[in-house]
Amino acid sequence: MVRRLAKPLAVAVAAALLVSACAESANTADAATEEETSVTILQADIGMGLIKEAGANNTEFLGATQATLVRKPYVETTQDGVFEQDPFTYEGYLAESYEVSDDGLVYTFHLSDAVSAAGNELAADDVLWSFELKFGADTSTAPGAMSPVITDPATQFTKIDDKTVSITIASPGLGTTLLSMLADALAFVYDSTEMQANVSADDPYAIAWAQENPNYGFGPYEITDWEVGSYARFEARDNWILGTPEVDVVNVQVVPDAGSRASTIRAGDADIVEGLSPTDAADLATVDTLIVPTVSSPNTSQVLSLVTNKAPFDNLLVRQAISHAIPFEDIISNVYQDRAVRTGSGIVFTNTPGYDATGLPEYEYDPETARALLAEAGYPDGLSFTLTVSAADAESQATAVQIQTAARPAGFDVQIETVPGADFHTGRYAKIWQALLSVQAPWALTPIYTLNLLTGVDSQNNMSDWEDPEFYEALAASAEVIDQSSAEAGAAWNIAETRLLEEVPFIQIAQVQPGIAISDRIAGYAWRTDNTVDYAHLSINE
Amino acid sequence: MSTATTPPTAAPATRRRLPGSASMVPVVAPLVLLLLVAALGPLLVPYSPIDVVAAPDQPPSAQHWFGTDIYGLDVFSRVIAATRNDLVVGLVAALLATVIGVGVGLFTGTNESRGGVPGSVARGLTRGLDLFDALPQIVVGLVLLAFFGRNLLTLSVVCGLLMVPTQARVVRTEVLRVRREAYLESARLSGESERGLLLRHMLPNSTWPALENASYIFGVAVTVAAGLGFLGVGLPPPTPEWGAMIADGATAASAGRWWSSLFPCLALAVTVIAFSNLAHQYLRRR
Repeated sequence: MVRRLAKPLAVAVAAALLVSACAESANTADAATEEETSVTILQADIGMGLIKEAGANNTEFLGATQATLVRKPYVETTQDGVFEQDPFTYEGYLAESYEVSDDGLVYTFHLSDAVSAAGNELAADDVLWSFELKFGADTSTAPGAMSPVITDPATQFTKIDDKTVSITIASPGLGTTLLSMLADALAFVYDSTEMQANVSADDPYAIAWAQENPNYGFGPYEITDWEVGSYARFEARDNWILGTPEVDVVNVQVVPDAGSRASTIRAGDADIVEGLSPTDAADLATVDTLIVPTVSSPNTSQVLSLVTNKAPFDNLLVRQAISHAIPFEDIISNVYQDRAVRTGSGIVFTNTPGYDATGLPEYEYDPETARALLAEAGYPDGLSFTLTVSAADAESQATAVQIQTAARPAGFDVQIETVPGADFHTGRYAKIWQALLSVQAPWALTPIYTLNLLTGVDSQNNMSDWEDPEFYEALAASAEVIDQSSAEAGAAWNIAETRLLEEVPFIQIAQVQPGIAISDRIAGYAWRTDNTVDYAHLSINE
Repeated sequence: MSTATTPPTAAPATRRRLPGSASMVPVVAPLVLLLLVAALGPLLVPYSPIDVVAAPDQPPSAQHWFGTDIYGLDVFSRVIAATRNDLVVGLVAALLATVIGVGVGLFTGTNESRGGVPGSVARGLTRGLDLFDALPQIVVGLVLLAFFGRNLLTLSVVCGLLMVPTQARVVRTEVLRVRREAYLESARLSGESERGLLLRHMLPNSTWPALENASYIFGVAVTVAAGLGFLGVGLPPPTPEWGAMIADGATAASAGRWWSSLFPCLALAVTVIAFSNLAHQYLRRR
């Protein structure tokens, strides 16, 4: 029988060898031709929503195919080939230029001759219709996220002519936040001609259509092939307004497991990997052929929200007590492998022009002080509370374990509850937990935006359910300062931030470095506040 | 002249002899060791199993024999401490599944062929158990835990409930066989009540297979608990439990940091094999 099988077995083996020798590498799903340059990027399974207003979306994909009126320029860092956004200055993108009225309330944008992937030239109607979509679609998050800067595009946006649009804001101090928002994914400008040709009664803003037809924007790339949950292929557009990108083809592959992504780039089978664990990022930073970027002021933060609509954190003293029971340095060291920083207890970015930290309350790990505050609050024997984290968020779970251990000597018995990711999102917006850990990453880094992000009235993002008239009054006063980079503005934010830190509805534990590794074959990686990779800025090292 | 009638005798019970003690040592010894570890282990571990004691992801060393996990917890201490939790889950689940399964199996086996309400209920119950058994255990477990909450007791109960159909089917099969035995008819003709038939004859003769099967149920329950822990719906962190430990270390393992997954994996495998071996060896010796 063995002899009978030998010949067909040999033929099968030979055939298998022949097929595998002729097959393309599995790491280039759609290999570029010899003349084309290509980059392979590995992502976690973060979805492939192809329009921002559909709810779940892939911001990086949209950044490659869409464009904004302005953008934040890139500046070099101390790492070779690595750039980072300057989050406080703005340059033209789809708008060639803009000017601001003397009272700081009207921003006028002059549009370029950009052409969309569908072949239509940019016009003022595209801007107006795009914001009508953002504020009209049921699944859009723009209304909450853009408040109080943009609340009613119908009245705030004005078409001056086919190539000129003005935006009016309520307070001059909101201007820098307006520009920052207009530079981010919330403010993509769509080809309204293409989209309006595909609306229907059931789909009045062509959102469902856009999910299947992603090339309706003015961005540098088109998606030419994709399979949800598996891969996407991007090809550079020759008629992009800022010139043809250097990388012709970008292949994005979904690799759900972070450890597998780390192993793949270590083996040289990928050019960029995203969503690395802090341990993997720290480990890969020691590999000579890889670059793991470290930026000056990362915007991703681990935040502990204390829900103030129920015990025990409806008690200010308890909130102040837990603030002294967080092992900040241990978390930075053990959870983030020193790839995180803590620049004080405040949440306003300390590199903001005009920043003023005078008199801000500071919280450090001090279990004795925490215990004394608990006793003063009426808990001389300590208290127990539940700390909720998402089962999909490994870093928050690790942070919770660190807090549980360190808070015990301070009198806190922390019970950790993990919930599925979808339930966590629902619960945090409904404010049903006692305390929760989450990762926050504001795209706009202006003080008004960061101070308002987690404290807005009736805002889903106000996970602490904390609303304080004194704080809002101080915030509104800071928005009246015309020059938002002045010492006057800094002093105004300081008043609001002081109130926030005294009341401590949430604690910013640490700012976390990006979890990205790049092959030294690639240059031009630029850290962005939306934490995506800008394919158009990449190049290949010779 | 009188004719003496032969009084009814109890059904000849199938005698189960325990195998020779010497040959059972390799089977029983691991179980005894596991029970000792469960009972005394948490008192003897070098570190608290729920407190951060070192930097995370440290490989095995003299200070941390099994290394530290992604949280900085000592893996050796947690593997030992988890023995108690996982054994409780297995034993409670096996006990619950057996007690309920025996009751259900007896009822369905004795009443399926009858008419009226008891027969209808018995037949409906049999079909219901078949349907329940057809559902994926992990999915049913997820739903039940979401409903009842997650702690050691509910996890044990859920795992036990998932195994009830298995035990019930085993007992039902035996009941259907025993029902046709001649000694039962003899007992009935001798005036034995239905209750007496059930308790004195059918129960002892049809439940032994379920008792043998209980060790298999134990292994399956521990594995199901580990599976639920792997999916993140087991015991709340950082409660030591093998499945959750394996899940926590899975991503690290794919990046080369193998220790925080491997050791709880081995502990789980040894436990399941030990309990399954008990049943296998016992059946073989019968």
